[in-house]
Amino acid sequence: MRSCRSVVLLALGLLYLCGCTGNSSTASTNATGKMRILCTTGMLSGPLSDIVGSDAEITTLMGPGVDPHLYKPSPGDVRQIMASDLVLYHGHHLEGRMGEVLSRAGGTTRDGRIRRAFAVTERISEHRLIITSRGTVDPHLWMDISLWIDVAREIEQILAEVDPENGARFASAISQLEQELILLDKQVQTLLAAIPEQRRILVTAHDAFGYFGRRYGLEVIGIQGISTESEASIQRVNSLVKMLTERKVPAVFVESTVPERNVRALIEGCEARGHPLRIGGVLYSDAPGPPGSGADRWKSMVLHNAQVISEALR
Amino acid sequence: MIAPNTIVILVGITALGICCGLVGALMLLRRRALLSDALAHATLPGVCIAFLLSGSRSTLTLGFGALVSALIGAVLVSRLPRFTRVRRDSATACILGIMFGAGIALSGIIQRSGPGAAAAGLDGLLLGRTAGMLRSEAMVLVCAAIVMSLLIFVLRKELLLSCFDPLFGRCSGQATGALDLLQTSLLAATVVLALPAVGVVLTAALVVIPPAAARFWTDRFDPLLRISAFIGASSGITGTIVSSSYPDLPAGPVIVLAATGFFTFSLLAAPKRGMIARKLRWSSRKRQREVRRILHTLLVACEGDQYSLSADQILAGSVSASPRALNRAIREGFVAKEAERLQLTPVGKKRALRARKSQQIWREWLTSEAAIDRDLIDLDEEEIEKLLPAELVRSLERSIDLREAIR
Amino acid sequence: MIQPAVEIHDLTVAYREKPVLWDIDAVIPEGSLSAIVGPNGAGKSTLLSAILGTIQPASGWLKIFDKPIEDSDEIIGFVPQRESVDWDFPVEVLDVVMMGTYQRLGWFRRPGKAQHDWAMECLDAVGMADLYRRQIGELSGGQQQRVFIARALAQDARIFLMDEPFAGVDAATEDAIRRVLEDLKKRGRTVILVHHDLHTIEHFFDHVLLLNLRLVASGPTDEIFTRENLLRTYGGRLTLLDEAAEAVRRIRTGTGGGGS
Repeated sequence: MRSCRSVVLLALGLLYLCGCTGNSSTASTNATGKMRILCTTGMLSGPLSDIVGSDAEITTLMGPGVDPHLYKPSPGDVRQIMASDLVLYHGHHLEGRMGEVLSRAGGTTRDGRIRRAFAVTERISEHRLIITSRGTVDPHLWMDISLWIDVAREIEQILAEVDPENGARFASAISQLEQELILLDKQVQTLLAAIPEQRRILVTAHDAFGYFGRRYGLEVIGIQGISTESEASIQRVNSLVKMLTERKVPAVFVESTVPERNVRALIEGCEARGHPLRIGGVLYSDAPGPPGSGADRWKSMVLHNAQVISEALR
Repeated sequence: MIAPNTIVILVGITALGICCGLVGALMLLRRRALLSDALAHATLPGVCIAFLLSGSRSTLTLGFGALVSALIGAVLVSRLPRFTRVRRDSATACILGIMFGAGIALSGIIQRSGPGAAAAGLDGLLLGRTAGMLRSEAMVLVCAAIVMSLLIFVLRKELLLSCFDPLFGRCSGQATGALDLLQTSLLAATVVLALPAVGVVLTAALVVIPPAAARFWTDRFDPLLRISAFIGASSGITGTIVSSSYPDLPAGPVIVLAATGFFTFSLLAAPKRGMIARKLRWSSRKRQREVRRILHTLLVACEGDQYSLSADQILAGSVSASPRALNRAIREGFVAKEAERLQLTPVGKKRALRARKSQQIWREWLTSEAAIDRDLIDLDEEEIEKLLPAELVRSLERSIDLREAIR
Repeated sequence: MIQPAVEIHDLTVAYREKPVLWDIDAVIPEGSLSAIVGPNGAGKSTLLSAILGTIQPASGWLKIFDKPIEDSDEIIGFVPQRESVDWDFPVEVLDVVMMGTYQRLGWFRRPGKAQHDWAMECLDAVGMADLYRRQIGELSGGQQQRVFIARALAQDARIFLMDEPFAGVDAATEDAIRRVLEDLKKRGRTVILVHHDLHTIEHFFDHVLLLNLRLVASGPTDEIFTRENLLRTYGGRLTLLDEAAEAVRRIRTGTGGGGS
């Protein structure tokens, strides 16, 4: 029995050491010599890669379909952050459970490199942002293309600060991007203009479309609150059913990152009241879609949403 | 008019409350209340693995995974004490922790795995999402409640025996193993059904609190099950109604709070077993004892030809009698007051005689029937000093002296 | 030749690799009143469990009324030790006694008037009929024991096993139990008791098994119950308390010397 016990202890000890030492190699060496930039979501890495092109190694922490409100960083993620030269995140508590990690993202590494971290949306002046009834800032800025153009400009300025040598290239990239985005903005406006006045209500699983509604003229209602962490209350579901029935809204929308159970409960409630409500389609709110969905980059995400909404509510 | 969604939730939650109350009562009687918490936490790895293997978000698949892993947890809990030195409560806590930890780790892996992952709503299983209850879910809950009630009705005597005296059950040829498995499966099924409504963390509360509250109201098996089911259902209904009357009150926790409210009420107000009733009974008995002692003092005085005494004399001669007790004796017609003197009424005399007779019978029983040697009752001084504290001996001496003085 | 109620051959029972019973060979005749006697930890309760069939022996076999125990569906009346039960359980006296009728009822059938009346009869046999609605936790020790015995009676078996039924009970209960045992003997039932009070063995039991891990001796009481055998069973130390009680008894009854 005693020999058995010491074997087990030895094995545990070895396992522990393995866990400690593994992967410290990713830290210092930078094989390609390019700047390593880490973004939390695809909504940031989209404009970023348009600006910086192949001159930097871009890593996106949260893939398609991942909910940024609920994402908990693993030790592997933390190591990736520490190994980057530049960390870009949204801020305003979008990455709700990563707050501590991100606040310590900026600093100096052991071998003298400087690592810089920026909360990109926090650089936009507050008077342009939506403040919720509870006093918090709505972080879903990317839904308003005109606002996100400003965010892209902020990204460009950050890049210029961090890598001044390539400043000129960044400047020309951003002006090209701006042109593209202004066109995209107009495209979305045209799509949504086709919805008649009394049907301009957008009901989704959570309050992600505030900026979208403000920019493109839709009344926006989410079943859960600003963050998917909050639970929908019975009263909210009931009042939504009442409102949807009274105003004869034809469709509600599910989101790729949020379970559709609550939305289906709404539909059942409306049916019971004699109002046939249907699901208008899947919207990509907090993350881009998977490859092949037609919404795998930020630009296509917003366009896809606009198309789906427009078709369902028309 | 009640909103249609609220009706769906009320129906579902009532059925769930009945299931939890019934199954919880069985668990309470078998002293396995912690098992419900362990099984609730043990569902998480099953849900995660079901999702990883099938990629489907359907409730059926995930529910099946939850059930399988809850049953595995139950088997581990019952086997662990048999094969190791770990005792049952430690085993339960271990399995709870290990499986829940594994579940959390798996859910962390899942959230990285891409599209559809977060939409599976694994996070929502932790605290439940009552507001989004669908008609299909409510129907399943109603069927479960009906099936469970039928099973318990049909197998009543088997369940009673296996909860009360499984050893005798085995000896009289009962398939205790099969019954154990049945009850554990019922618990696992209830826990899995409760997940979308109240979530992993709160399910245990809903299974444990209603039977604990019901225990205060009855001392019999069938009423315990019925009252437990009733309290479970009532907690659900109350919680749902309260939470739907206020914005932003999540239903799951409010239901558990309602159950706690029922428990507190039962704890305090239940007749016979509640705290208030107990306190009242205790005071009443204390008062009666004091009255008896007062009557005894008066009786002894009567036999010594002293037919009336003053209040002070009475109180001094009766061990720990209070003026309140004296007033009660007067109120109940045992003692009459004339000027400052008090005397026994005929009714009081009869009562005192009866009390004395009972005392004698009791003492007689102690010595003869209970086989306590009469000789042992005659302890001498040294023994008494050893057995009783000095203060007590002195106060007893004082009472005896006073009684002699009255004579 | 009286048919043996229980035959035990070469029985060995181990618990976590420690032997608890070793090489037991015994025959218990039908209609006898037998006592199993031995010090604490001698395996007496284990022997009862083996006869009941609730534990698996490591080796050896048992036969109940000439049928091997695995094939036997003989109902065996059983009175367990009092500590084995949760007395706070919400159940009434009559409910407990009716549990004795379950085996004959089988699965799914509900006890009816016949079972109710039979259970009341058994309660009456132990003198507890008027307490039939009492919750079991409200009973005294002796009353609880009598309820258990009533339950065993309700089983209506040919063999009864009882684990220390006389332990810690009052005189009224002792009398009640004695009456029950005499009645069972009159009706030709076989009763096997684990008994601890050495002084009541001789004039009460006709058959004795002296047990201390091994069977020291077994057979008719007047042959087997000798001081020598007792010394071998109790390892040469009859407990001090027994000796003191013996001494007191001698003084009281005025008999000096002589005894078992």
